[in-house]
Amino acid sequence: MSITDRRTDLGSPWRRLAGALRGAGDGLAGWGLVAPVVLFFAVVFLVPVGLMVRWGFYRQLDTGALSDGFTFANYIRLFSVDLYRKATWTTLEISVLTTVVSALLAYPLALVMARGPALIGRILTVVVIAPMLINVVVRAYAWRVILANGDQGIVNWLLAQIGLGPVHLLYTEWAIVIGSVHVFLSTMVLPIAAALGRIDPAVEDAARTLGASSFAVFRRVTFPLSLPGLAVGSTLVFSLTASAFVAPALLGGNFVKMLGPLVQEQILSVFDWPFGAALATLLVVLVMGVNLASVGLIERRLQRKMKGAR
Amino acid sequence: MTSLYRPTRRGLLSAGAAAIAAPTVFVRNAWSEGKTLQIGIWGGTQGEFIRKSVLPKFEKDFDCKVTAQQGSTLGQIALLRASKDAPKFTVMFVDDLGVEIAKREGLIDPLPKDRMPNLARVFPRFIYNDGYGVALAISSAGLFYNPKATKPLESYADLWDPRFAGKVSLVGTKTTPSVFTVIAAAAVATGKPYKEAQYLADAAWPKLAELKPNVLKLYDTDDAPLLVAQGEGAIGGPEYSKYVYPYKLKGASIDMCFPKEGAFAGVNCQILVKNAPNQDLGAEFMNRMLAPEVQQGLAEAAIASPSIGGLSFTSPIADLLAYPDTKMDELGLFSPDWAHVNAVRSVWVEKLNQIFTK
Repeated sequence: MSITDRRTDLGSPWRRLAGALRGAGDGLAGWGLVAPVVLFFAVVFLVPVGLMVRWGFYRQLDTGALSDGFTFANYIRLFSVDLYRKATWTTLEISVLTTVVSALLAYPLALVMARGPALIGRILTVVVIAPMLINVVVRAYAWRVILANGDQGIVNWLLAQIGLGPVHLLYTEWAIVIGSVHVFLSTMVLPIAAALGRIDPAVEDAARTLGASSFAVFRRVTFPLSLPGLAVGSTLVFSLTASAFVAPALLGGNFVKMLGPLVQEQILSVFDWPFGAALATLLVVLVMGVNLASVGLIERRLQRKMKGAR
Repeated sequence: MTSLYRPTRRGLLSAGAAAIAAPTVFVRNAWSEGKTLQIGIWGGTQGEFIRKSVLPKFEKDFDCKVTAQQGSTLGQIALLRASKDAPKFTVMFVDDLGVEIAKREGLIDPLPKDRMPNLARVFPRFIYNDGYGVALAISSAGLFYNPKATKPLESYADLWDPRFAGKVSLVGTKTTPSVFTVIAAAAVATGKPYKEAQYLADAAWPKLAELKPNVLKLYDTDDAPLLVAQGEGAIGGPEYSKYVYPYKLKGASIDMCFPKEGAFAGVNCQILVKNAPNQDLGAEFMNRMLAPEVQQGLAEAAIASPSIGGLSFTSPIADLLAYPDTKMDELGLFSPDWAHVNAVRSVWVEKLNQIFTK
C-alpha cells in the first residue's frame, strides 16, 4: 500500500465526518431559515384552528358563558338538520364548478401568456390580475348590475337586442360561480402559466415531429406536464370559493346557502360561537380533504406519466 | 399723552370677577384631560352624524379622545363578551334587544343617573331594563315599496298575493327585522295581534313557506330600499324607517307603509359597560347624546324619533317622525318580548334558512 493510498484510507473517515458535519450545518441552516415561517404559521394558523376545533365541542349557555366539558351536540345538529347537509353539498358543488370553469378559461390565457409575444403576455397578466386590485364587495356589486334580472341587467339587455331572453341569472348558483370565477381566475392562470413556461419546447416539437396533431400534443404532452400548475391553481380556487361569503350573499340573494355565510351568521347574528366553530371545522375539513384528494390524484397521474415516459 | 383706557368701578368689578372665574372656566373639565374613551356606534346616517357633529365637540369640551367603532347590535354584544374580563369599550350603542342580552349576561352597569341630568328629559317608556339602557332614537319598522310599482299594502297578508310573484325583497336572517317577519307571518296565519303572535311562531313557518314564490331575494345590506326604488321588485321589508326615509327625502321612488297589523319599533339605545375604563367620561358622553341639540340633529339626520320631549320639527321631517310619543301609540308601535325572542332566535334563524334555501 502506498503512502498516498494510506492517506486516502486515513482521510476517508475524516472526510465523511466533515461531510456529515457540513450536511448537519446545512440542515441547521435550513431549519433556521424555515423556523420563522413555521413559528408564524403555528401562531396565526395552527393555534387558532386548534382553538376553533375545541370550541366546536362547547355549548353556548343563555348566560353568554360556555358549558364545561365536551359535547357532541353541535356535530349531532350539524349532521341531523337537513339545512347543513344541503349547505355542505352546495358549497362543494359551487366550488367544484368554479374550479372547473376557471381551469377551462385559464388554459388558453396561460398558453398565450407563456408562449405568446412578450408584450401580449404582459398585457394579459395585468388584465388577469386587475380584478384583484378592486375590493370584493365592489366587484360583486358590479356583477349585480351586469346580471340583474328582468330588463335591468346588461346581459338581459344584450339578449333582448337579439330577440332572446330574459334569463334569470342574479340570485342563482350561477351568479355565484360567475362572480367567483372573475375574482379567482388569476389564482388559476398564474400557476398554470408558470408550469407551462417550464415545459421544454423541444418535448412538444418532438411529439409534432412524430406526427401528433396540435390537440394530441396538448392532451398527451403539454397538459400532463402542466399538472403541477393546475394542482396549485385548483387548490387555491377551490379553497377560496368554498370559504367565500360576500359573493353568496350579494349574488346568491341568500337563497343559496354555503358554509361560509352560515359560519358568519352563527358568529355575528345568532351568537352561537360553538356551533359556528363546528360549522367552520366542517368547512376546514371539507376543503383540506378535497384538496388533499385532488392533489394526490394529480400527483399520482403525473408520476404515472413520468414513469411511462421513462 | 393720556391713556384711552379709563378704569371705572364697574369695569374693575367685572375684570375682578372674570379673573376669579377664569381658572374654573379653563379647568372645568380638567379631570377628563387626556383621557381616551372607546365607544361602539351604529353605521349609516346616524353614525355619520355622530362622527361629524357630536364627537369633535365632545372631544373639545372634555379635552379627551373618543375612538368610535361602528357595528350592529349583535356584533357589539360580541365585542363586549370577548372583552368581558378586561373591557375596552365604555359606551355601546345597541338596539333594545341588546340591552336585555347585555344585562342578562352581566356585561353592563345601571345608568349613572346622578351624572346624567338629561335622563330627566327622556320619555319614561324609553328607559329600559330597570335603568340599564336608554333610547336615543326610535324608528318605525314596516314595509318599503316603490310607488310606481304598487300601492301601499293594507295588510301583511297582501304580500302573499300572486301579483307580487318574484317581487318581494324579504329582509335576511342576519338583522333584527327578520324577527318581525316571523311575528307578522304568525299574526297573518293566526289572526292574533303581535303581542300574542310572537309566541305562536310555529304557525308562521308553513305560512312563510307559501310566500317563497313571491320572494325575489333575502337581503342583508342597507341598499335594499334603493334597489326597489330603482325597479328591482316592488316591495320589501320589514325594515326600519331610518334606512328608507333618507332616500325618500332625497327624491327616490320609495315610501313606507305600515299595514293594519301594526308597526314594529326599532329602538336604538346606549348602555354603559361594566368595569369599563373611564366610566365617568362615558357617563358624560351618554348625557351629551341626550342633550336637546344632539337629539334634534340625530333625529333630522336619520329621520328617527328622538327619545326626549320638548323638541319640535318642521315638514317634511315632522310628517315622517312618530313624535311625540303619543304619535307612537297612534301607530301602534310594537316592541317584542326580547327575553323570549332572544331565547328562540337561533331556532327562528335556522327555520327561516330551511324555508328559503333552494
